[in-house]
Amino acid sequence: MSGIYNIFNIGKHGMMAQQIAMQVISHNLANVNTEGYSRQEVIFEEGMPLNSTPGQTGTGVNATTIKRKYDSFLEGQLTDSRETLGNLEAQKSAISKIEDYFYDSNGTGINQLLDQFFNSLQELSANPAGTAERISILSRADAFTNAMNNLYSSLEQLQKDMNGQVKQTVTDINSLASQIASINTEIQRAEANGQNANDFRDMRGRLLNDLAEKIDIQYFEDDSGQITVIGGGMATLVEKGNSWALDTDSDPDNYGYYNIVFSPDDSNVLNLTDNISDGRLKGLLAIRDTETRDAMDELDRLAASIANEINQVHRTGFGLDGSTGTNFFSPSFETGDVLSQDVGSIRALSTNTGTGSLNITINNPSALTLNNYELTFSGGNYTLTNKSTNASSTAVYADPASFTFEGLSVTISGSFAAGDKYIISAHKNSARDIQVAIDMSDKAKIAAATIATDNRGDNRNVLALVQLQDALTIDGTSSFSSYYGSIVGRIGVNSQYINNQYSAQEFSSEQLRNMRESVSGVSIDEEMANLMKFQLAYEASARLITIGDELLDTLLGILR
Amino acid sequence: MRVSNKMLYDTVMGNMQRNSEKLMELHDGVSSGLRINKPSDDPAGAVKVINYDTAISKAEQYQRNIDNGTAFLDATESAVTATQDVLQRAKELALFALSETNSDAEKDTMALEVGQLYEQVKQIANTKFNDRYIFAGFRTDVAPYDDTGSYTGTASTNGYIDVEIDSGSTISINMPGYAVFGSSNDGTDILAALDDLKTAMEDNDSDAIEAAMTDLDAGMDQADNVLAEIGARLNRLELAKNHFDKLQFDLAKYKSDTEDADITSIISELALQQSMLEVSRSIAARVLQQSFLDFLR
Repeated sequence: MSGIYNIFNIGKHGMMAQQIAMQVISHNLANVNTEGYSRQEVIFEEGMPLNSTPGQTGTGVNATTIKRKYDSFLEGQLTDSRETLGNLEAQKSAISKIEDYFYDSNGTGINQLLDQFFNSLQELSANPAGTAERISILSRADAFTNAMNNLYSSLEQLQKDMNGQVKQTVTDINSLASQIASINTEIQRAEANGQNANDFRDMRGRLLNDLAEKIDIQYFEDDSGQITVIGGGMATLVEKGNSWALDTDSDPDNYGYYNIVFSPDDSNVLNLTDNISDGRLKGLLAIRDTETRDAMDELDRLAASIANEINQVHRTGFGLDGSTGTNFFSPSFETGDVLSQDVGSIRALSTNTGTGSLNITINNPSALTLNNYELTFSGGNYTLTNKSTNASSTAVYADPASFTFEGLSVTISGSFAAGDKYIISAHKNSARDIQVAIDMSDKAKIAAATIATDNRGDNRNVLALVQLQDALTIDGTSSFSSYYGSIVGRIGVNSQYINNQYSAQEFSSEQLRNMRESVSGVSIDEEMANLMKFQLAYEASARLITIGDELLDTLLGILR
Repeated sequence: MRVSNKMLYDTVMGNMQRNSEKLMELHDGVSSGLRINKPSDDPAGAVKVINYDTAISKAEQYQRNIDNGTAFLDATESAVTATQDVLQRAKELALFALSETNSDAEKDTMALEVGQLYEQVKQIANTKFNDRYIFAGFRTDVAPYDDTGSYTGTASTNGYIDVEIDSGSTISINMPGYAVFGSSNDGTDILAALDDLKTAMEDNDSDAIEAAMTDLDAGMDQADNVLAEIGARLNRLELAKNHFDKLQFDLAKYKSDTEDADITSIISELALQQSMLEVSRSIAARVLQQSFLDFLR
């Protein structure tokens, strides 16, 4: 009997439902270009049927929910790929700078300058008293040491840049974490009321991706729809509506560069630096603490080796003025030279608690291998480890103790605590500090001769210097030039590897983005077709109401 | 697969981007002319280029050393040849003096000429080349034979100035005076022999003239040996120079083979890439323009 009114109701609900559907379509269309937007869709359901004769009659349609099209597995893969991409991107641009520093195809590279220096020594060997030849040697040597100093400081500058970016990235991470936390709250609030927080979830997904680009994260969603985010393997960055900030802290044992620390409460401070495994932070740390550090160490070793070898030969020779024992380069690497904390040759770890002192001098320049060493104390013993060869020797410590190794003479005295550690490298900062030790006005002191007097034609010492160019002075296997070549080769291989990885990762993340788009992206064609579908249905529902009205008119007409 | 608008756009843009990027790389190759612009382009190749650079620079220097050495030895050679001429004349005069037909006055004249020859040899022995006394051993700033004709240069067996003409291989570019003209301690002292001859002629002492002649013969032999040795060294320098001429050419070629871009193949690749970019552009224009909207009223 209520049939006619039902038609009105069904028509009304129909119009409302189609209208909501069209509203959702307009939202989709408006967000066709929004990054990270997931297409939304209205779910229609039939209304509750009414029992009647001849049977249940329908009550029309209801729009029950608005769902977003979304594949959580793909989203997880996408965040993973963003982590790797962020890592590789940071490394890629930095390592290409390092390459440029080391490899110069237009003739001003370190290697060419070294060649020219040796050529100028050759020239002197043909005319040992020549003033022009002597001036040329000093200016070539100067050009070489300047290039060495500049290369070193470029690397150091790069390291500092990376360090600054570490701090900036940590700030970005903290800001993202707090935004995620506040969106968590919004989602929880909305969904507790039975709503679908579709747009908030898209926003949160976008923020998660941005966060993943900066640091490796793991995340999971709880029953209330809020996510917990763990960064760097162990730091809870977001939990429900709360976020915790990462911080940076100067590390005295890493030249004051930043560590990344996390303090979940006031009493705990965790050092995350070594746990960060991906994302931009990892890339920055890898360049700062490995790539540039290695390059600087090798450059130091090359500079030290050149200074040491040239000086050894040069000291035995005689200048035109009869002078002898002159160093050509500084640092001099002469017997009796003291390794000092000031130039970084000895570094005591900040965690050392002993009060003992360490004194290291050079006792045999020709035995110097210029490796990195570590001196550690434990249980009444001390252990010296060669970090390059991993050879080590342990002895019982009796105060004071003296021993010599690889050209260095060490005296340790006083008390040391177990766990005390010293890092020793005679070549530290040599590339930064190397200089020509002979003034232009002292050019007569260039020791071309092996005799003190009547030596203007004696070139035997300069000949010995010249022969250092090809001598296998480094590790007994490399000449100066081939050692430099091996540095360039190593950097080239690393850079090539990172470039290849980057291209592969870029490609696979593009594939992933496409797969995500295929599920969640908006297609205008599709939306337009749907729009027509719903428009037609809306028109039909409206028509129902007109017809219902006519039916009522007819009915009322009977009574007249 | 569902295709969204963004997907379509991203794919089309990605293709266009990649094609442009490749095109730019090729442009870089063409403009620098190099295949290796950074070590990562070919790490092993970059290391080779560094080694070739050093080898080329060394080869150039060895050639300069060879040229320097050759000039020095040439100067030495002509000095020794001149000395031989003088000794030849002195011997002729000595033979002349021994014949009975000469008067005392004539012998005195001959003695005067021998005196001149003595001065001439001393002058030759004190030859300078590039402001250095070539026969002084290491003492290149002091004339090796003083007023009395005694040798003051670096004493035997030192005084040979060696230069490198290849890695680890050296050659002496000079002859110390004691080895050429002798000294009171070494070989035949040519100046002393001439002085003796002069005195013998003045004294008209045939025995002494004959003794001086024997010394002069020994002096001639000494000069011959020196010339032979210089000749051998110049030969070695010549061979080394030829070697480095060829080596330098080879090294430059190796370096170019390693480092230089193959322009022909780059340019054909460039043309290919350009047309690929055009294709992706025209596809982009067609695909991105159309939508269902075009077909609705």
